[in-house]
Amino acid sequence: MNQKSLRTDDDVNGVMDRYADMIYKVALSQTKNTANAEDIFQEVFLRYLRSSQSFESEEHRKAWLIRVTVNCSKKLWSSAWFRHTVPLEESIPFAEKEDSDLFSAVSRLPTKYRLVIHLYYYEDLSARQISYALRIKESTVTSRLCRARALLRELLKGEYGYETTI
Amino acid sequence: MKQQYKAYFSAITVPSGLITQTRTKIARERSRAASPLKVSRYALAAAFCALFLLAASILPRLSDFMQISDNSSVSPVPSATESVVSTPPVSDSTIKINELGKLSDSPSVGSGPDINRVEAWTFQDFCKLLGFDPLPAEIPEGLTLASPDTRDISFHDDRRVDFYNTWYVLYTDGQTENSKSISVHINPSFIPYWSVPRAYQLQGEVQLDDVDALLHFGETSEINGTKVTIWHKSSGTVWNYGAGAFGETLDVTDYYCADFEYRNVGFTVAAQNGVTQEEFITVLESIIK
Repeated sequence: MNQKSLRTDDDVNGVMDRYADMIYKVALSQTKNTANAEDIFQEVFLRYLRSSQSFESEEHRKAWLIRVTVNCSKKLWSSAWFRHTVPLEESIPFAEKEDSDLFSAVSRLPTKYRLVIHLYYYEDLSARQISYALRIKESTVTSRLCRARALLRELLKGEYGYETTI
Repeated sequence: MKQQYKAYFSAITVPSGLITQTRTKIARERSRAASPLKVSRYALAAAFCALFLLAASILPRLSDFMQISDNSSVSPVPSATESVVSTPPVSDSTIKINELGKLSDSPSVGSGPDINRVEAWTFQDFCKLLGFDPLPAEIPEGLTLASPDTRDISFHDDRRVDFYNTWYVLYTDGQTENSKSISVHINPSFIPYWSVPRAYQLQGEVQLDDVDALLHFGETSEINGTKVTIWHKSSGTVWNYGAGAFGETLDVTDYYCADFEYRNVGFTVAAQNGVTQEEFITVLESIIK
């Protein structure tokens, strides 16, 4: 079998410049822990380095990177080591109490809801783009978004008026 | 809330040390790959197999040479574990069923580029595009068609149908994940890409890039002259392409799935929760006429 060639430095560095922020934050939103997010970040770029996947568009490359990040997070959860440790939920400093409440509510959502919320709210992806990136049906994305918002509404009820703004 | 969430995450920055660390790891990986002394695990596996085969072929002859007359004392040459179960041929078919492994969380391959041309089509429109009716003529008793008459079809600018949009037909006796069901995915522009996640399932851990190789995992059967890859899982977790939450993981019993290309159209047929092997093969034979 032929030895696989690695991607060039220019290629990897370019992707790192464009997507480092996105990958780190998707990983952080999934793991809620900076050390794990950093491990996932490195793993994603090593996978990209080794990958010979060709991309039809920048959109395709971005979707691939999101998917790999999500899969690396899942891999972390399923690892024996992770299952036998208590996840460290770091106390991240917040400027406002509302930020803290919101982050705490989002982090209490089940992972699949947290992911769509992050991609929709922070990465500004449309439901169609999320469905493309995660390879799930668009209707599944919208139903997860609805469900996530309903859960957030429930979690934040009484804290302050999010009833109609979520 | 969106603004608040965004503002919160915007304030977080990627640690600069992390970028440096990652670049160092990448450089290390690059120098490792460039090392002429590196022997890949594939090469090691190949060498081991070659040694095994050599030993297997030499040992019996060596026994003959030494004129061991007591056959009962000679151990048979061990054979590799069979992962493929052959069943007697049905009509013009040679059926080989591949057992699926555990579900892997390896990343799946990407789908098409961003597509903006979308039209609502009827199934008749779709058949016109294919040039034939792709639905099975035979369906197990009790299952009924439970799919919409129209669906949105996405196109590339050159009118190729995007492979992210297969026509999906479901026959089921209910609408829950435990319903007995057969689903047929039909795609005129791509060999069934669902094979790829199944290949991950088969292998457990696979590098995700080599799509062509992944598509050809598994023993192929032949049904009326068409090569078909059939998968089976007696129980466990698979990707759900039947009733219930489509595209999510699902615990099933007796799951069958077949991938093939027929008349330049990609097909994936999946059956779960009580469809027998005979029923499944009959369905396939009624598609591949």
